[in-house]
Amino acid sequence: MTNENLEKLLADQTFQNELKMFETYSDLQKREFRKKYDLTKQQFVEAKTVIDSITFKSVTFTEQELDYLWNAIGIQPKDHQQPQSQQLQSQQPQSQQSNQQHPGEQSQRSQGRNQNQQPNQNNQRRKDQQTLRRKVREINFNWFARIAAILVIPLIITSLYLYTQNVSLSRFKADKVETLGTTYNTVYAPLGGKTMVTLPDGSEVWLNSGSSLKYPLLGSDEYREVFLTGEGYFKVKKDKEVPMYVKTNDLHVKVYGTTFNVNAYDENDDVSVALIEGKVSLALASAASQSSTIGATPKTKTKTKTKTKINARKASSNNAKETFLKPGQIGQLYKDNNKLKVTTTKGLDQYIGWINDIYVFENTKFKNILKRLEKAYNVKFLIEDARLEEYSFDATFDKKSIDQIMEIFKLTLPIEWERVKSPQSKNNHFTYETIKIKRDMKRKL
Amino acid sequence: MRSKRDNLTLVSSDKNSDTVLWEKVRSGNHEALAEIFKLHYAGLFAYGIKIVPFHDFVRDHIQELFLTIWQSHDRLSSVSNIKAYLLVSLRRLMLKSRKSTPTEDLNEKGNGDFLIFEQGEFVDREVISSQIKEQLLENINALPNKHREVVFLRFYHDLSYREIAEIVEIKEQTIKNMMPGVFSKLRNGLTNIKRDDLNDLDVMLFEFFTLFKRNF
Repeated sequence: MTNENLEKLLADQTFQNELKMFETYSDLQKREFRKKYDLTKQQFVEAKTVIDSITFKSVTFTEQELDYLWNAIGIQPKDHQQPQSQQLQSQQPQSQQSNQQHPGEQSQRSQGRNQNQQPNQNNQRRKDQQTLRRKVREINFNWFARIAAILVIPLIITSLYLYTQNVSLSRFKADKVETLGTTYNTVYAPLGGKTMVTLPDGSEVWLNSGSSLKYPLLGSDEYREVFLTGEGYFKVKKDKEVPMYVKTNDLHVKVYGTTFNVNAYDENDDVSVALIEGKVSLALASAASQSSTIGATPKTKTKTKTKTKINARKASSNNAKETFLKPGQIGQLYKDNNKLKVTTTKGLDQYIGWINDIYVFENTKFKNILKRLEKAYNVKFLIEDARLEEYSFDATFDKKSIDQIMEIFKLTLPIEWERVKSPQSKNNHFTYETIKIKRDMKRKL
Repeated sequence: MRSKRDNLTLVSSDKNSDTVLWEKVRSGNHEALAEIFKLHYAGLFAYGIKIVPFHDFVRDHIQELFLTIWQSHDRLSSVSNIKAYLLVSLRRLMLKSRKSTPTEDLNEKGNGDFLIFEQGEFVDREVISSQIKEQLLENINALPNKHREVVFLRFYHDLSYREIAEIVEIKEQTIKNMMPGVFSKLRNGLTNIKRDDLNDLDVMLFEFFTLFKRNF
């Protein structure tokens, strides 16, 4: 290999990572590495030395910096209040060491930080920050006052004008409410893609590949209601008075403002709800069947109102059947026996990674992984050997293409893969890609 | 036959990943903010001190950064790589206020060159001779500012070229094109590299494969 090529190789990120990891490699991996790169011994030693030499030490973190932040934010640090004094002592040698890394750069102030005047210094610093912020606020206020004064005068004139018009306006509104209340908007996410929707109340919903969300253009005053097919990640605006119902075919989720993921693809054996923050309650669609139909087909405005009230009462009488989730918990409804199971997970990424194109699997069967990938990448898999489907994996695919993912599986499983011709739809368009997975007979299962 | 639970972890998966942590902060969870702060403080500091070599200046700006994040948590957008996000935000924040602060207040040494490295900042490997270490340090510090910053972000923070491109505001392809040149400069004057730790097994592998290749 020429020097020029070696420099190109050194600039390659994969090569850099592999060199960094080299010490941890097994003999087999080392041999693989050798096969991959055509390096002489001298070139290898040089490359390894260059990369080794630009490995940086990391700087240590001190707990007191977090306390500054809590002070500024106005949160009482509760759990580390007690051990803090001990930590200060144990941290001192470390923080001094880190200062020594930059000799000559230490100012009076930063030295003082590590010594006895510390509490005074901290207070002084906090006061400085506060006065500075107050000043900024005053300046801002003056500005706002001026702008407000300019804006308010035309505003008063306009509102007086509108007030006179108000009567006709409200009549107009009453007419429209009826039609809007029964008008629904439906948003679809394309196959192999994602869509973000902002609902009229400001809640945000990410829809995964092939999913759809139906919502009323004008919600009722008493509840918010959306209908989901497929998978969606919800960030619901807080409203204590007006709960939101996220309804799927099998499961209803009641929320007051929180963040969670619902996976209700029709092909799945279960419907799962993963809670990130806040509180939600789950109810079987069959148990709340009356309430699910209400609101979907209201005939007149007055009827809707009364029906809603009945509905609200019914929901509260159904309380016994509600299952509450805490953050980090997963509620799973198995469609075959209609049983709801609640489990706790630390790996929430499995459920919400998809919004950033990250797919995480923990001890998941190959066939279930493929099912998920089929959705995400709009492909169909054909597996020749059913035994392959039963292997379980832990895997994280961070923004990988389907080709990269298949190559990774090829390394771990004795398989070969290829794209095959997909059946065409009526209008001669390919709607999805087909990938065929074969046993690699040269390798053992 | 492989065992049923043949779990090859293809990429290490942290339990509380960036996506989850960030979403928690967005929904107003201050413990998640604390976790992010603890995880990234050291890295942010190490980067900040390279941009403006003045401890309190860096500390104050990291505090300000997190304060801003907290105060506007319900208006934040989705983030998949928190580290890169924090680094780029801190960089912008510091460069902005460095412009508006008189330089003599910041740094007595003048602030033309930033990102100068010292031997103590690198992991000390005894297997590498001090002569080579000094040569490499010299080579690094002779690089242009921008190149040095990319090297630092790549090898301290372990960011990909794509993420670095966003932070230093140049194109990813530009970085990819310039890196071979950077390594060519880093290799300047490196001769007689001896590595005792790579002498036994690895070298045997080398001899084996060169032999193997010659025969076929």
